[in-house]
Order: sequence, then C-alpha cells, then structure tokens
Amino acid sequence: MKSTLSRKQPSPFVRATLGYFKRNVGIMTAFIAILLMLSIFAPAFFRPQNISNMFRTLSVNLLLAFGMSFCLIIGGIDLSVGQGVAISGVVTTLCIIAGYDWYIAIAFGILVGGLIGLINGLVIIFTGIPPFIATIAMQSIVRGLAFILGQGSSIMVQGEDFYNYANGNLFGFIPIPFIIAVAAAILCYLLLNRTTFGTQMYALGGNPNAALFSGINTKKIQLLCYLISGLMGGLAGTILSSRLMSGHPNVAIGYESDAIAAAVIGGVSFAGGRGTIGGAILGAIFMGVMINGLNVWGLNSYWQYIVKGTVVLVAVLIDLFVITRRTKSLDRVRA
Amino acid sequence: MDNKAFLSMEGISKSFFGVHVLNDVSLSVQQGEVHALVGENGAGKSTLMKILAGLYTADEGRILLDGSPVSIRTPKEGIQNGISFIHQELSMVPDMSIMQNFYLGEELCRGKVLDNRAMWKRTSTVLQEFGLKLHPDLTVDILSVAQQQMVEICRAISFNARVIIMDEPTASLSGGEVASLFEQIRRLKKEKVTIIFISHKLEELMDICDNVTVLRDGQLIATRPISEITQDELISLMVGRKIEQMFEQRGNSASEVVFEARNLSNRHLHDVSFTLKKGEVLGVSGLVGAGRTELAHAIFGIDRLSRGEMYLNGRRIVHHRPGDAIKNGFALVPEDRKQNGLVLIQDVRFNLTLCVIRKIRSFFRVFKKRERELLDRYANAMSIKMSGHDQVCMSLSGGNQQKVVLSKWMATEPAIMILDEPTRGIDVGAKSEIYHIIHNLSEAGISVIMISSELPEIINLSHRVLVMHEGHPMKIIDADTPEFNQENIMHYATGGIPT
Repeated sequence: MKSTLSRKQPSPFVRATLGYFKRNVGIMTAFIAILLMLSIFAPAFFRPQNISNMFRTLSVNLLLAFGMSFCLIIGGIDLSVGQGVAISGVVTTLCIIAGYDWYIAIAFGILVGGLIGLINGLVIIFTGIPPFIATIAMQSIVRGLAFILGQGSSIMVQGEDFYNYANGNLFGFIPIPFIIAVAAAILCYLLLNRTTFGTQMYALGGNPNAALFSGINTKKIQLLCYLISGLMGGLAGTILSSRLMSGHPNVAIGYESDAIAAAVIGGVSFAGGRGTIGGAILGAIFMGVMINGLNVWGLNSYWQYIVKGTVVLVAVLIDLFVITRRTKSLDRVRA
Repeated sequence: MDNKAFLSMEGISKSFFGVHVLNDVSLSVQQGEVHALVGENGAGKSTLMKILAGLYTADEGRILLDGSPVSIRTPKEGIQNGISFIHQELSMVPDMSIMQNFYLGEELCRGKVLDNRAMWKRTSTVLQEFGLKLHPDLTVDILSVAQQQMVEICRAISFNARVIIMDEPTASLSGGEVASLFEQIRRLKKEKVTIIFISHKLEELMDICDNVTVLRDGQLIATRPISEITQDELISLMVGRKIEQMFEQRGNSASEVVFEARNLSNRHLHDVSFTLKKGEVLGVSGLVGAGRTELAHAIFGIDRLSRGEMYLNGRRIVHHRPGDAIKNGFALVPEDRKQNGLVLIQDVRFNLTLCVIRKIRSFFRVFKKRERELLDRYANAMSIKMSGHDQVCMSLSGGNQQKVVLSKWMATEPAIMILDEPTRGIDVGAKSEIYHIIHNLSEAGISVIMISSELPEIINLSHRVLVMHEGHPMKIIDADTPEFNQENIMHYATGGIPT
C-alpha cells in the first residue's frame, strides 16, 4: 500500500479544493470544452442578459438536484419532485387569488411540497415499498391533485411583489432565485458535511445493515431526506410560478429526470453512499449551460432531448468505468 | 496408488501491477488425495487455485494433468478439464431452484427447448446418491449454507469433476455439518476424486487431509504428509515465526453481576436466561441454527423480544433499537463484518467514528482534534495495518477489517461487548491478536459475550459457557468445573446429555 500519511499535508481548504477538482475532472473538462465551443459558434450565449436568465432558470434545477442528491445518497430516489413543483405552483397561485400576501402564499407552496415529501417518507419507512415504486405512485397521485385543485387549467395571478420574487435582481444583476439556490446549496453542504445527520446518511447509503447495527435511526434519516426533497420541490414550484406569474397543473414534466441527470453527472452514485453537493451543483450547471447554449445556437428542442440523453449516458459510462477499474484493481491486490 | 502425480503445477508465477503474488510455486497432488493448502491471508492460496480453475492465467509455469500439459485459460476450460472450484462465497442464484442452479449455463435442451424432465431426473438421482433428502424444485435461498455447499459439490460431481477445490468450505458450518461434509469427502476420495482443501482451521486439516502445502508471501514453504507435522509446526511455517502463545492465562472475573437476561423469547429463542459478571467472558456455543446470533440481535435491539426481561446493574432495560443498546453501554461486533459491520466504501476514519459521531460533530462544527485523538487512541492501539486513516475499508485484509470494527465499538466505551464469531475468516496471526484484545477487555473490567463456533476459542477464553440448541439454553458450564471440556459442550450443543 502507498503511504499517504508520511507526506506533508497542505491546508484543509487547499486540499478540499484540489479534491473537488480531481473528483470532477471529467465533467470540468467537458464543461470547458462546451464553453469554448459556445464562444466560437454562439457568442450570444455570453451576453449578460442571457447569463442572468440562464441562472434564473437554472435555480429551479439546482434545488431539485439537491433534493434528489439527498435521496440518492441514502440509496433511495424521489421521482415525484416534478409533480411537487406543479402542485406547489398551483397552491401558491391559489393562495394569492384567495387574497393572501405573496410570502404567505409562498410558504403554503413550500409546505405542500414538504407534505408530499413527508408522505413519501412515511410510506417508504412504514410499508417497505421500494422508493422507486412509492414515489412513482405519488407522481400520479400528486399530478391528479394538481389538476383537481387547478380545475384543469392554469391560474393567472398579478402583483408586483410576487413578480419580483423570481424575476427581480439583487444589485440589478444577480437573480433572486439564484441567491435562494446558493443559500440552499450552503445549507445542504453544511448538512451533509458538518452534521451527524450527513454522516449517517452516507452510512445508510453505503451499507444499510451496518448503519442499523451502528445504532443509527435509519427510518428517521430516510424520512428527513424525503422531506428535504419535497421541500426543495415546493420551493422550486414557488419560483417557477412566480416566473410564469401563473400556476399550471401540467408544468415541470420530466424535471425529476433532469434532477437525476444533474446529480449523476455530478458523481452522485445511483447505488447510494457516494456523492457531494458540489458535484450536484456542477452537474446542474453543466446541464443548464448545455441546454441554454444549444438554444442560443439555434438547435431545435427535439434535438436537445437527444443531446441531453446522450450526455447522461456518457457521464454514467465514465463513472462506471472509473468505479470498475478501481474495484478491479482492489480485487486483484487482495486475491 | 502409484507415486506419479495426478495433478501438478510447476513453477507458477503471477504478478499484479508488478507485485509478485506467486513466485515459482509448485504443487503436486496424487489421484484420490485430499490435499490441504494453508497460509495466512495474502499468501497466494486463492490466486494459485484461481489459476488452476482458469479464473486467472499464470505469467509463468505449466499445469500437468495426468502427466500431460493442459492449457486452462478460462473457467470453461477448467470445467472441461474436470476442475471444479467451490468458492468461499457460494455462487448459486438464491431465487432459482436446485435444478436450475445445477444446470446453470449448461442447460440440457431438446432442440432449442429446455428439457426440464431430463434435468429434473438427473438432479434428483444425483441428490439421492449423495444421500441428500432435498427436492430439486426447492429454491436455493431456503437451504442452509451447509446444504447449499452439498448441492454445489453434487453439481461438481455430476459434471465429472476430477479435481475439486474447496475454499474454506467449513467457514460457516457447525460441528455436525462439518462431519457430514467430511463423510462426503471420504466418499469422493474412494471414488478417486482429488480434493484441494483450503482452510484456516488446522484441527480439521489434521482430521481429513493426507498432505499439506504451506504458502507464505507467494512462496512455496513446504509440502509434508499431515501425519508428520504438528499444528504448532504448521503455524510457525505459516507465519514464519513462532507464535509464543495463542491464549493467555484467563484472569479472574469479579463476582458482581452487571447484566441479567431472564426468559428471553421470540421466534428463534425460548426462555434464554443467564447472568453476566463484570469482566467476565461468557462463551456462547452451539451449532448453526442454535439461536446464538439471534440472541445477540435480541439483546442489542435488532430483533424484537416477545417475552422476557433484561436487567443492567439491577435496573430493568428495554432495547427497542440498537441506539438504545448503545446508550446503555452495549456494543455488538457482528458475525458478518462486510454485511453488517462496516461501510466498505468509506475509509477507516468514517467507520471508526460512526458510533461516536455525536462526540465530534455538533451544530455544523467538526471537532478535528477530538476526532484525531479518537483515531489515535483506538486505531493505533489496535495496530491496524493501513496506509492512513483515509484508506478505504474495502481494501483492508479481513483481520484488519475486524480490528476496525472492534475499535469502532471500543470507541463507544462499552461496558458489555457482544462478539459474534470474532475470528471468522481471519488468519492465525490476526487471530492471536484478537484473542489478546479479548483478554485485555476482560482485564479492563468489560464484560464480553463471545459467540463462537470454534471450540478451542470457547474453551480457552471463556470463564463460563452457555450452550444452546435450537433456541433453547441447554446448560451453563463453569470453566472451573471438570465438566468443562469440548466433548461435553458438543453433547449439549447437539441436544443430548453427556454420558
């Protein structure tokens, strides 16, 4: 075995940063390649207006990718987040129509998302139905509820305050939703890396039996993760409804797969136990830049689906390749 | 039996990434011989056997079968040459029937259609020949490990295996099952089947094998007839040094009772009662299915109790989940460290601090200094061989993994430690270290409940032993009484009364 202990260690911050780059070297290279291509073929991408817009759109995807990462790290999945976004938007706009202040309406939207997450979590921990099945069933139930609440059509709202919630800027150029996403990122980072909850999440995802034997309350951890994912969906829903100034029961279709794609591209393991918020951020931004760039470039949206899918396949393949190579070499050494 | 070797491997060398795993190793085995292959973990036993079975190819050297060189580059070629490998981790598909597993990849067909009737008949015949009362349609997952092993051996025979390699076949078997495995091995021997037997349990080797080959660090150390060598000699050949003493003199335990179990019962347990004194090692002996692991799980709050009470220092305690048990000062080193003990994809630091994580993290802060102290105190005291605290546990050897699990629980500063098969699958050197640790725990006043299938361990370490049979406590035997010997323990474990 190589000795890494004897070497002098650089400061923790430098080490963490280096580690971040090293872990994500593949996606970073791809990212730079895309930016180079955009600067040649679609320089309009770099217009401040476009960048600002892109980050505004991206915020929703970032939030969902965070929630999804929590579920994936513990070895679960939440396929109902897109529907959470939709119903949260419907509830938020309904509250505004009912005469509530914009921030109370938003609070209701977030709470509805949280409630869905809570139900997901309760079903999973008490019935033992696999998360994939439980949340796919929830997908359909929530979509139906959204249509019933919205009576099948969209709910238009007005009001400057609510408009500014997702369309306004701080200092005139930083989109407010992006600030929300950054705040959420910091909170998620701290939860994962600085709390017992985070450690126990990795233990649960890495080996559920060992987690149980180590006295970890695995049910509580699962419940909290689905709750967080639900809350993120709810929060994203309020942002989306403010951007559109309306609540549609049929928005956000396929957002869960974008969230999974972002997390997986960012190195969150589908098998559980591995993944970082930093990775998920990178994955979501990568996807966002790619889609926006292709739009600016003028590629039609049908083709964008194909590009998106291909990128996910390639990213996962690279991930698999790295993992198999690593475990293979371990096998051989131990044989 | 003539003196010409039936199977010989000559000058086998193999290296991975420039590291020599095998260096000019030769092995020759006669027909109908049971040949033991021993050595510490990492000595190259498995690699040598994998080369023989075609899972790896050797860099140098050749294999002769019945006097003529053969080329075995793939597992398929291995099987064609009559070589069958029964792996330590069984390689059957749990959800499929015995018959389906029997013909996995080699299905009999009529045209393009599976010939189920022929397969069923043949499977049934072979099982009967072996005296196994098993129906070919049973799914494999309901069989005991011993039964699964028998089925694998039957499978090997039915494909005309001439050489059967058994990698630690008795690791998960108990006395009776080992006996019936050996019976089958003797039968095979009569039918001129050659067996290569890898095991850490030296007593067994003495019992069943004809010759023994010792490997150390990829080198051939010696090949001897088993009748001309003692266990102690064998151990010193394996480790390359003399192990002074496997077991230390047992200390005296205090008379103060710290824990008492009264009538613990659930699906697997029937009225199990016992007391545990401060600093005492209570051995728990029994066959597979005796309910030993289930007892540990029930005490630790993993399994529910339907009836019965537990008292800690006279105070009634209830464990709904392992967290409660840990709070009460209990620790459980589980039987299967890979399944239940460690998060293998994480590093030593992560695993060692997992149970005491609350001590080093609070409100978004990480107390690095305290973490380092914990790691130093427990990992270094246990002399875990690792490249650093950031080495991933997957890449540690079995003995070192076990030490990580032990130190993880020591870090919780327990009063009562339950050890479930603490030395399973680890080599002799690490074993004696673990015995030393158990001895020290007891000296330090920590009470130990030690579940073990290895009677020498039970006899040499325990102050008292609880013998179980099918969930019933048969007898508690004190180490100071003349009744305390292996024969009596076996008698009680099989449900009988010693004569």
